[in-house]
Amino acid sequence: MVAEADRELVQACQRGERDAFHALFEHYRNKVYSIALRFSGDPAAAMDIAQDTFVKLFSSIRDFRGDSSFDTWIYRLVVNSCVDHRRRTWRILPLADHFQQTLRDPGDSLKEMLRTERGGQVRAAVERLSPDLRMVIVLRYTEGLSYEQIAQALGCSEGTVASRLNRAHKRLEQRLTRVMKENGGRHD
Amino acid sequence: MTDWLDLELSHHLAPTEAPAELWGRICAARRPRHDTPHFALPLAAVVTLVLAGALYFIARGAPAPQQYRGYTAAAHGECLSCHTSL
Repeated sequence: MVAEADRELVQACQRGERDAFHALFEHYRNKVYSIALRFSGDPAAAMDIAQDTFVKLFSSIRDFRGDSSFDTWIYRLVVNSCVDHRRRTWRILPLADHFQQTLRDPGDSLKEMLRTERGGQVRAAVERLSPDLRMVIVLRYTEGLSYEQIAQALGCSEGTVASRLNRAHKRLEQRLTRVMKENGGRHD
Repeated sequence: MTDWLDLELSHHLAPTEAPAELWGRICAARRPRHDTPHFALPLAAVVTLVLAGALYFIARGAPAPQQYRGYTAAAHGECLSCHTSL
């Protein structure tokens, strides 16, 4: 169900009020961008995904009837945009990565330093997960969603969410334990 | 799952602030564009195919359909032996 404030905002958007669109954007922009960034691991891709999500949101807001929570509806849009973006770019990315490797300035070690830093290692491990597992992790830890909310956003059962989270945790634990041992780090 | 992993994920995957220029990009993307309509490409393909087909038959000299040959031949009193269906 839609909260009263959200309902009024959504209705104003459905009437085409420009200020309402901006207010809705301000309300959801960090949520949308954060999910996009944590899923893609790339700020430029996150901008594309967030832009795509809001354009879809504004062009289809008249279709929102309030049967489900507005948050859930937005999460579905972001998830779909992430999947679409990945589908559009997966052929290009390996080449782009190769180009970046080739063109990288030897003195540009900032990114490498960031990668070796703990946060970079955690995010790199998440980025290596399959998209299904990664999305569950992002919705759980970036947005703090419950199993039920994740299931609604992804259109699957809570059992599937639990299973994917379990698999993701196991893989992350293996990878991060190994990386931290190699770096002589502690995880307590 | 271990607690340290839960803590690491919560900490390092925390929400972040969206860049200010996002709104500008969305507004630019929403402006009506005078792009080629969606149906233009399939329509152009169909028209090209029809024209190509027409040109092919014209160039080849389209033969009269088989079923009329008999009538034509009979009307001219020719070849009745092989057009027995008359």
